[in-house]
Amino acid sequence: MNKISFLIFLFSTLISFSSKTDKVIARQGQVSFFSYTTAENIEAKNNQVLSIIDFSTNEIAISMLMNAFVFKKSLMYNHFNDSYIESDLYPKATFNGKIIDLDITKEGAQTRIAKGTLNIRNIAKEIEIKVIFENKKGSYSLTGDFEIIVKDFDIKIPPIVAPNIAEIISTKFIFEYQPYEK
Amino acid sequence: MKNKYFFLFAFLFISSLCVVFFYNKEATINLDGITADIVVTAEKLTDSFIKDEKKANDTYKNKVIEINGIIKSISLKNNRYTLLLHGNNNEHSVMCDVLIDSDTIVPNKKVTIKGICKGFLQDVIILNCVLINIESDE
Repeated sequence: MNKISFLIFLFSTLISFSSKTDKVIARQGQVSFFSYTTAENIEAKNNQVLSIIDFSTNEIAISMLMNAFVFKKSLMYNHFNDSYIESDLYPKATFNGKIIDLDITKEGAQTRIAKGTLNIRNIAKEIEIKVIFENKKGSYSLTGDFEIIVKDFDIKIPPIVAPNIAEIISTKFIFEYQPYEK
Repeated sequence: MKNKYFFLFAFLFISSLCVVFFYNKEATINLDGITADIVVTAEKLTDSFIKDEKKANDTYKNKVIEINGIIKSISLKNNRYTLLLHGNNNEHSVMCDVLIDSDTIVPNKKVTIKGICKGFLQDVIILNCVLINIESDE
């Protein structure tokens, strides 16, 4: 009987180990962007951004739906989706890269560089972002900010509204990760 | 002649008011009283996106949908409540950004929720959700 109990315990432990991976996931990451001009300030937030980090390789993937950005004014939302980003044609923006020299065993915050490809409107740009990775007793988070140059992604702004939209957009992100269990 | 100037002035004034109104219109969307385009279960919704994302986007994206499902978890993040409804497997769920009183809603209860489908990442993303019905304790 004891032998059977031991085998059941061993089997369930093996299953539990095999279902866990070195990956962590943030389903509710926040990405926000700001456009500052003398004419107008525009801000939008997306609270449903997905990010996965694979600690075995330190690879990071981020994906977001462009139509899930929330604006203060509905006209801003419509212009952003219909005219600038064309979210029906290009529904997602992604970042795929690697966090260089990341040490997940180190407690506290560490500033690192995430190097990879940012893809917006099917246009891929190699970028490097300074990120802060924090390990708070096994709870992992990643924060950072970077700038996006509007013309890099072939975003066409009509001359009449050009004074209202900055040429460089400030972007911030916050991700809080949990173990990725299938 | 005076009448002509009066109508021109009135037209310009009203046009300006319309421009200011539409420009400053708040982006807040309230789905109370709006009939859903489609009624679906959380399992079927996730299954549709996993099997064929393009086809599911054509069916559900940017539409008001009513979803019946079982609560997997509830969380408060970035000052917003998010409900996860069980999908057709453990890996994929329906994620609803919802304005609710957190005390009224707990995991494993059946709920009916209405919201706007935005698309699919790891989960089906539903924004501007309102709670239509929740299973009672009895």
